[in-house]
Amino acid sequence: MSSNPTLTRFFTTQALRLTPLTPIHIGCGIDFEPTNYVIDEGVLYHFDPAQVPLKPQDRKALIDAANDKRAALSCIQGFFHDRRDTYAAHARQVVAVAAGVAEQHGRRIRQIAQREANGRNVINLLEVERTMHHPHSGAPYLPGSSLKGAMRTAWLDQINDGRARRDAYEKAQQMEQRLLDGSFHTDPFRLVDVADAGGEQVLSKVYFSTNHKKKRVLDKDGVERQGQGLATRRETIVGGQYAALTGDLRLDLLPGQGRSDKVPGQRIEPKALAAACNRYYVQRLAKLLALLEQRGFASPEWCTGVRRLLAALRPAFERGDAFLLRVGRHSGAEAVTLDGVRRISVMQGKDERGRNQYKDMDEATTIWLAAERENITRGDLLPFGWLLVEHADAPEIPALREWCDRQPKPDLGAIQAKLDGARAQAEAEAARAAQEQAAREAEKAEAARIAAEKEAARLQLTPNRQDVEALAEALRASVVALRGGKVKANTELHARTRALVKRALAEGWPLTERSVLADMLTQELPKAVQIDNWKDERKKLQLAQLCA
Amino acid sequence: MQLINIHQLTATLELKSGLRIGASEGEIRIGGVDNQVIRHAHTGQPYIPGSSLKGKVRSLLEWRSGAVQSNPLGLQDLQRARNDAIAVQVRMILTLFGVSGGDRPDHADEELIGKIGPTRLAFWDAALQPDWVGRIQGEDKLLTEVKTENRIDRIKGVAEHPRQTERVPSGARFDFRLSVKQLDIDGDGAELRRTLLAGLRLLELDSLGGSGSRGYGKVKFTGMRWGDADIQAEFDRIDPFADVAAARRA
Repeated sequence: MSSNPTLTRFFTTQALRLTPLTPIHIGCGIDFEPTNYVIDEGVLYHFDPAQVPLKPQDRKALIDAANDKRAALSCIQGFFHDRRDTYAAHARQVVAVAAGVAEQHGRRIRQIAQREANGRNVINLLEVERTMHHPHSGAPYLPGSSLKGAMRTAWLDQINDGRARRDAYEKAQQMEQRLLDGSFHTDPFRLVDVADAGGEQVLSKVYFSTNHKKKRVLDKDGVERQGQGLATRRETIVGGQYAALTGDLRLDLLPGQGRSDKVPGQRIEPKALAAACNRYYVQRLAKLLALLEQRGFASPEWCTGVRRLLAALRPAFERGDAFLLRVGRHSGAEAVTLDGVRRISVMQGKDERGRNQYKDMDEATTIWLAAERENITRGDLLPFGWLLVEHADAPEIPALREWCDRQPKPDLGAIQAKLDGARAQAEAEAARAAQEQAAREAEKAEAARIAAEKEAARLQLTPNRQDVEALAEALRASVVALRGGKVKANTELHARTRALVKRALAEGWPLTERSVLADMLTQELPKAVQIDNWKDERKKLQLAQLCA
Repeated sequence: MQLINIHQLTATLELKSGLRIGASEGEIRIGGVDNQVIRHAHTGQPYIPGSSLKGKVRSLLEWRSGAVQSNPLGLQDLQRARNDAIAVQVRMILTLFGVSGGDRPDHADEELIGKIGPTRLAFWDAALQPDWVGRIQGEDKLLTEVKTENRIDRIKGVAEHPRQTERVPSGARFDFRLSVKQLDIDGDGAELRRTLLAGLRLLELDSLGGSGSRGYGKVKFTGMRWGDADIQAEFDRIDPFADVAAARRA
């Protein structure tokens, strides 16, 4: 290839590997609902109810559940829960579930959450908030917009460097514009492109997000007050998954562009961006660890382990090969705001009219933590949202892999084995059902074949013979319908017999046809019609004339 | 001037992240997503307009040429090129992507327009592959996703301005096709072909459609063919900045 000195490299791309350190939940507004998931032995199976074939009796049970006037919703929940083996086998996705979530689910299914004063029952909806995921595979991923927003916050904080706002009226967007010296096409983050980050095998787990007071507060009886926030079930990307996700970071260079071209004045270099993120997030993690330890939210071993990990990561941080981020729900107000300008609105109880009172403070008073059970206040709580980003071409950090290996993680192998077992059972059942169906089909086909043969044979006959055959069929069918019983004399069937004999004689049928009729009546009529005196009946029917 | 051949370049264009190419809002639906993707009028399936593909590849090649400016490159830029090397690049872009009908510089050099000739590339709209559509619809799933985003007030620490954006999700596969005219003035056409392939490689390294800086629109070409020949391996080896590196080393 000929060298061409005018060609310009107008962007640089940096492949990234991402390691979630703690549970990460990125809201997407979609829930697992009791009609599309079941929980069995600590695993959530997500399925599409429309894709699971229903047996006739199950269809009826589901319709009955939906028509239940008092508690249709909890009956429907119960319907799926009772058939969880079947539905688990059709799972599109399996998610680990915290022990307390599974217990609560077992307890609450079919239960009424509360009975209101007006007698209305409030049903547990039992929904689980999903994290951002691929719409088809359900695989969780980290959207580029979340990663980029977290980087932007760190960059802004570095520029602001703890200073106050210009005045009390300056809004966040105006402040950003001032700090970045531009907006839209002059915003330096226009040139930072962060891809969605995903992976083949990203584990997720449902935790409770639980609310805790940062400072120990006692009520008038000396009892410690707990956070007011409601514990919610949330799917999270599991922490401690070494390099489970990959993404990339692209920086546009705008070669040859001057300020007159309305381009951003600030240029963001990869190393500077990494440094800004570490400047902002590392100290926040250190501060958080101190809080977790001091309040006993997390175990001292876990906190020490993370501190050792941070120490091991320091050289990579300093080289700009790795940086820390905090993303998603429950990152905490301090990790999404700038030092020096933070104004967190904190509820202060109610005023004399019963309205909520708020006060602006420098820091949030509560913290949200991931918990195995909804009412745990000590021990093994985990902070949300911590993520380590490394340049993919930088050397691996053994201490990071070791730390990840030590973190408890759902046993994907066991979950997969359970799913395979459930699927194998469902397949065996489907095969058996298919076999039965095939046998039924074969029976039907045989009956149809015999009927067709009969019909073909009938069509071979003369019209008179066809009438004889039709009467014979009617007589035989009557015997079958009455299970061997006979119809009374002089009823419709008997009258039809007489009419045919009369016709045979009146129309002067050939002898062969008359004999066939006589033989048939001799054989079939006594079986089908109650006749006390057969000799008399033969005379009445003129059977002798038929054969003459 | 004579048309010697028309080559067909075909490939599968696979999405590596959600793609958004917006449509004008036909109607406002209550509770509906307000940023919809462009769809085929009859099938209702999302597609990638040829204009999006052509425009993006052209702009990426213009950036690489070293002659980029606000407006698309035209005849004027060819005449005013700082040096021969830039003129070669600009000419290549004009030859492949065409000169607009209104692009008549002062004292138009008719001979120059004649030398460039007609636009060589014709991009096709890329439709979703029927087998992919069949698989997704067979599982009762939608062909698009709705991504919710918000911005964080960095003073108050609260999320605000929630917005919903429709995207074609990663994993979607489109039939990509373009035809390349070869004229007798193009020699063996190797230079034009190399520039075109470099442009498609740049598209893989950059992004297609909207919100690229937030991770949207990563694409990958697979199964690329030039007529009957499989050129995927050749395509994957292309480094669109190889010449830049050589120049820097020199």
